[in-house]
Amino acid sequence: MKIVQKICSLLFVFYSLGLWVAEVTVVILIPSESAGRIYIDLTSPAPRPLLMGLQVMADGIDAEGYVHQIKKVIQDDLVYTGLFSMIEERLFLEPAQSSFNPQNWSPLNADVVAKLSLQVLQGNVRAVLNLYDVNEGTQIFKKEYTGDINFLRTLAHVIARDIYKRFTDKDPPFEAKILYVGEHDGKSSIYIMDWDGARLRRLGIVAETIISPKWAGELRLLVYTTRERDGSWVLKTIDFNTMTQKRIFESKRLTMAGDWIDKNSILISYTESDNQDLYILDIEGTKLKKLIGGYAIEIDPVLSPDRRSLLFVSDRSGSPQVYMADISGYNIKRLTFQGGYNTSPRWSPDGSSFLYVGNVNGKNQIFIQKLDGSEPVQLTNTGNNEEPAFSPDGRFIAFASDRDGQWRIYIMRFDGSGQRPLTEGYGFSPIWIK
Amino acid sequence: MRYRAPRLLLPASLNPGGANQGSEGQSSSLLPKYEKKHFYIILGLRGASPLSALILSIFLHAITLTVLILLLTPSYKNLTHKFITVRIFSENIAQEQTSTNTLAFPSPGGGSGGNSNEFSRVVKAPDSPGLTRREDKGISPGGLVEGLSKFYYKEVPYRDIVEEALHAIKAKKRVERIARLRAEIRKTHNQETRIPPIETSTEAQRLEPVLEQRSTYEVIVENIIASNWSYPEVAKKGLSASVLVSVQKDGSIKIIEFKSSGDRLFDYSVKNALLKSSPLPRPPEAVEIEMRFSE
Repeated sequence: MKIVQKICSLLFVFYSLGLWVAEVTVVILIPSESAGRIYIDLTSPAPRPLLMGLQVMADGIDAEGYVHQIKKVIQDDLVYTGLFSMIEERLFLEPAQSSFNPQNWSPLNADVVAKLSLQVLQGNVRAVLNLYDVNEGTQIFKKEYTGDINFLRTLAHVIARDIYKRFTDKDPPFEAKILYVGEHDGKSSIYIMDWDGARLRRLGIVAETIISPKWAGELRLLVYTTRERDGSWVLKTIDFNTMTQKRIFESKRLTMAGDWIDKNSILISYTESDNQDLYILDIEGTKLKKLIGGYAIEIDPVLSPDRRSLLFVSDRSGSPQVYMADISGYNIKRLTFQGGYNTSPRWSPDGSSFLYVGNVNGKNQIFIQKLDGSEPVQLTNTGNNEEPAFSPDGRFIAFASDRDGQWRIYIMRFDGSGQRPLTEGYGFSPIWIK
Repeated sequence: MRYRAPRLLLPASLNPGGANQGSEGQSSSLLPKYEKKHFYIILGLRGASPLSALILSIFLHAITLTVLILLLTPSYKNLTHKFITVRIFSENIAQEQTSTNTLAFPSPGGGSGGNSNEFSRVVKAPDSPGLTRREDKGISPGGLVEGLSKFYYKEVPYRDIVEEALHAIKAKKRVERIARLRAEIRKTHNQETRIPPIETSTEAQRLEPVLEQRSTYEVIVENIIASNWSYPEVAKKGLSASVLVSVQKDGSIKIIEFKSSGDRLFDYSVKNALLKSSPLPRPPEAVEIEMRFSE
């Protein structure tokens, strides 16, 4: 009993003290209501690109002829991304030569001001770029560029890249080039142009048919498929480091090059028995290893950016659809379920989505679909649109379209906006190379 | 037998009480360490019984409550029917704003390139009270609404107080009208602004009795910043950034903390929204605003 009594009294004391302590603690911790804190939640910003004032001035008579060209290249690059918009020159309050004063620019709602001065001397161009933040009222940076005057467009793309990167911390495709299959003298040939369609050049390659060019990235290797007069299928490679061409495979049966795996292996579709299946071609030994095959047709293999999976087209379900598999050839999964004819899968650079060509009402249209199982989104709807290819930064898609009567290379933004042609003449199978 | 509480201060083994020796000795042999430890912990309770413990606790509670009542309600202390106290928000409410753009913002590192983290630097304003208010132990009487101290302890004639109150209300209405007009102007630049009608606070309270009652100033600030925030349509979506700012008495904005969205362009748009909105209209008192920008 004594023990119980002792414990009871202990408990009483603890309880009363504890309650009091808790009470005081609670009181202290109740947030006070003095000098209040306001909470504001903001959503839905006004959709508006950054407003930029670009001033290009010639430092010396020799430079005057180049001002317009360099300004146009920079403006076109930045504006086409959809992130920038240029203020009209006639609205400028400050002459190009005057030093930057934010009060001359905030009435125009400008966010950024770029002042570029050009100097041309003995075939060399020197450009000085001063970039300013209007809202802060300060200079962002000053950069100097020099180069051969014959590469003025390249210089302009580099300047545009520096401005773009400053505000987004991302790499734009301004310096990228697009390679595609064009026509020459009634035959097929390979062309290369800037991402904006300028400086079009033809490679000295001609064949009856050229299809499915594939680029090996940093290796700077190209593989393409040709069909020769006797009907045989030939795979050839071009090494852009040495500008030499090599014949790596030939067959009487239908063969098409797919993506590069490494400098010695290429995914291909090849007809061994009675239909096309996927193989890995070992270039050195000219050996074939079967990857995915069977009674159905499998073609158009493309390797994922992380090199662990591939997309391909198979008609094993009864109609051509896009499938995914591990690089080992296992875990085959069907990805497209809408439409009866889906081909030409292409990965996005971040590996999260893919493009494909689906037939809608008799015409081929380009779709984008995320790998997480969400619905595909149709990006084109005029004419036939095929052979889509993502830019390295994932924000643009080059493709071929016959909407104007003949097949041409087009470009659009990743969301389908800004569709416009890049070539005047025939073009097909565009791929991005750098 | 009269109950005798155990001697809490002394170890059981030294208890001179003879009558309970046996049982205490017994209990001490059963739980010796427990008793000793707890007897030493509880000080000043010599000879305490459960009853006295209760009385002590009630006494402490009463003291605490009294102190709390005194601390928390100083304003009603001098209330008599002869004089009225008037709560005035700011002695400067009648003045127009004249200050220029004075946003105090951590300037990004100059030079080429800049750091990707330049918008996420945490800057403590020199006189900021810090982010947490745990140090405050309730409202100190002196630090309440600033204008109140003028009327707190003085006895002021009734007529003067009423005149002063009317003047303050007129001035407040004028400021609100200006803010409303400004918001209208901004509305034409921004199709997506949602501007609730700006009315006096009592009217607003009447119309929204159930929802949280936001002060007029809060609504004004939200509208100004929303109208100054823009972001490109094709830029990355699904982002969100938070900012904690303190608004000085002159309306200038000082960034206390910036939580980056992880995207440079988005952070840039948020920073510009704040720069364009500074200076804000003068607040009733120096205030902190926590803002969340999400796309």
